[in-house]
Amino acid sequence: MSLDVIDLTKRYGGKTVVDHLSFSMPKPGVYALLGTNGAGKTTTIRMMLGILSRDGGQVLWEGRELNPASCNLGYLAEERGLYPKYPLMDQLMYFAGLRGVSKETAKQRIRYLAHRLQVEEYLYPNAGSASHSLSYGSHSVSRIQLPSRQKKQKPKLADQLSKGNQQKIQLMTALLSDPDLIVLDEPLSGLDPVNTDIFKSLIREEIEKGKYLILSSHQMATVEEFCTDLTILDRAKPVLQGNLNQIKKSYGRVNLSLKVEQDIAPLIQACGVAIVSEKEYEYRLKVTGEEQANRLLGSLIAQNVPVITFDLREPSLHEIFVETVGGERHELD
Amino acid sequence: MNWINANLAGTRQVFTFTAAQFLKNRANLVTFVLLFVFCLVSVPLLSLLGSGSAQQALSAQSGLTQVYVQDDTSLDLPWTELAESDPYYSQTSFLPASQLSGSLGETQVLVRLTQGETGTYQLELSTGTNSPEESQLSRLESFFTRNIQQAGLTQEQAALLQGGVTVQSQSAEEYFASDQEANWETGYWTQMIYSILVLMVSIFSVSYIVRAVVEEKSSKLVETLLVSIRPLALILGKILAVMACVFGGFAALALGVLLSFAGTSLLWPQLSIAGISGFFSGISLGWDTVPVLVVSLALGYLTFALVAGLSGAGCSSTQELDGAMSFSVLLIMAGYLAGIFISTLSGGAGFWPVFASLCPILSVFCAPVQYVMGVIPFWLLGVSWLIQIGVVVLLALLCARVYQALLLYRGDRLSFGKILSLAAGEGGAR
Repeated sequence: MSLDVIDLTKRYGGKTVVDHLSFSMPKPGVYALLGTNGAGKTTTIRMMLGILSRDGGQVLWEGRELNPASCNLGYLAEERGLYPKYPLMDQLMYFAGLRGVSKETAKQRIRYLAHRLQVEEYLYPNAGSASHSLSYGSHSVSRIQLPSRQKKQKPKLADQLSKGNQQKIQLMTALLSDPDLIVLDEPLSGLDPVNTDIFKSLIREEIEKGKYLILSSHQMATVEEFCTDLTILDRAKPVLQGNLNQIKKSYGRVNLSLKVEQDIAPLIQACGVAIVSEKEYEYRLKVTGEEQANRLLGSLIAQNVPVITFDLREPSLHEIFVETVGGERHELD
Repeated sequence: MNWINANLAGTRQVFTFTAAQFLKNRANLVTFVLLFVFCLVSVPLLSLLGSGSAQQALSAQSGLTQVYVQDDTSLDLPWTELAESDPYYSQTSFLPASQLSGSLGETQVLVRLTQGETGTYQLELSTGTNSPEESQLSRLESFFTRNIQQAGLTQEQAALLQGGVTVQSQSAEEYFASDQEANWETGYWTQMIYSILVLMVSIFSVSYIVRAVVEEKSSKLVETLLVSIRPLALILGKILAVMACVFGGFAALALGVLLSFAGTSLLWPQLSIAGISGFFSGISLGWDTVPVLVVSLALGYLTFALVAGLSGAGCSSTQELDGAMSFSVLLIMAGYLAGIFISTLSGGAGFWPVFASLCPILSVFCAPVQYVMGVIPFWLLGVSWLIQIGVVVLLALLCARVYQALLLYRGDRLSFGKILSLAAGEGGAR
């Protein structure tokens, strides 16, 4: 299986919102689509999935036009929601039906995902206290402790759930058909740290299963945690593309974190090193390379400055993003 | 075929889901139960109202002192004995007309039964200057009609008899004029009743469809749905589901009325339902009446439902719901009023009934009525249906063309005119 996006273009009137974007995923993994607000990420995703018409380009899955018939798709939209007044289980079964999943498989899959996302109490409000053994595919869950049997409760409606739990149900709709290609547009926005970890564990599970993931997010740390390849869009155009490790290597080890117990700013400046930030003798520095970093370290030792942390590393994705998009914007401005 | 497969895949799932949620809706269920109960009691209620108060109808006395009977038919029925067996007339004397002397008083009626050369029967009720109440005369008419029917009168003869008049004498011109007036009245009321039925079905369905589309859009579900299903299937599934539920509901209500009618005839034969059954004698009811009504209603429903779907998709939030509904409701109201107006104006003949039967929107209200009334032939009804099918197909194509763009549209509500402009500019959904 492979995904190829070729020359994707979209215009609104005279304005080009996605300009000849191409990338490919020859093997499973996570591909990140990054960009500032309005750069064209969501438009690209919508065009890829056929939700929006395109003015040019192709999206191929295994060499054929990507559509729900040619590819088992899962999509968590940025603008997501649920029917507020309909029972949750009905909605999940409906979405499963639309994706061509049989009722039995859908029930199994819902139970499994409900357990993984910890929303069983909302989907099975009348389940007994008995323990269950449950499996789906290669994954299994040995025990589930369900709420004790009480007075029969009405099925839960979407508007009775917190935003985080609604988001979990929405992720379930995206994963119900056990899709081969999963597109997640800002999957972690608005989640608390606990739920973020739950989401991440499920994303990790899909990666382990060999799925193709397209991830669009502003949370660079999360993207960095999962993605192998990426495109950074700025004003409709791809400005940086490729393998994340190679991109990082191309920048070199130029970021230095230094922690000491006294003010060494004059010493740093004397070595010609740029200070990015400083807080209580904890410095983030930008060096030109390892040679300059070593020179600074030698000066510190020569001056008998006790060094607590000296960490020379490649730039983070956040730094690359800011430099790529912010720097260019700065130049233009 | 590929176009149909690609665009309609998933319609069944949308249909099932929408129908299930429609039927689970408590407000819909309560409305249906109330209407069904009303239908069950409708016939006795209408009969009672038509015959005076309930007490008068079921237990009170007729209020007449003497009924003079001149039976010139060959039936030779024992009217005095028949009246004695009816508690309603226990205080009323049924006497031969020969015993009438002088003019009729306020509580006296002269009944004359005659038999025409063709075997038809005529019932004449004559009163004095101060006539008894209309309800008393109606009950008396019902008494004679019922007993003649039980004596073995054919349905056709009974139908003619039920059209009996209380006029003592009339000229030939007056006779024909009253006949035409009766036809006009039947046509008017048929048009009115059918139009109200279309109005109810359409407005109820349209409001549900607009609400469903707007809620789906404002709930931000559209993007998720459009990954799995094409927009035409999405709207069509909804429309067909609501159609199935509403039509099923109305069929159940019609059954309720029939049960009410049958129950009333069986349990309270003394109630005057002659007027109700007599109403239908002016209409050409046949085996095709029900299919004609169902097909016509379905085409009308589809037209208004597709318009409603498009109007709803032009909204971005539930605050714009009223605006979206108003266009569809105004369209329905315009058709309804024009239908009634033309029917009243034309008197069941000439150019206007044909025009109303062929003009889109108007034809929804007029064509089946004009056919049932015998004003237009079946082939003209067929042409009307073809035009309506054409309109439905055009609206469906319009939906396929712009519905996706409308669903993703965020902004002020789009008018139907703007939606049409969008269709002209939109190169297709995908």
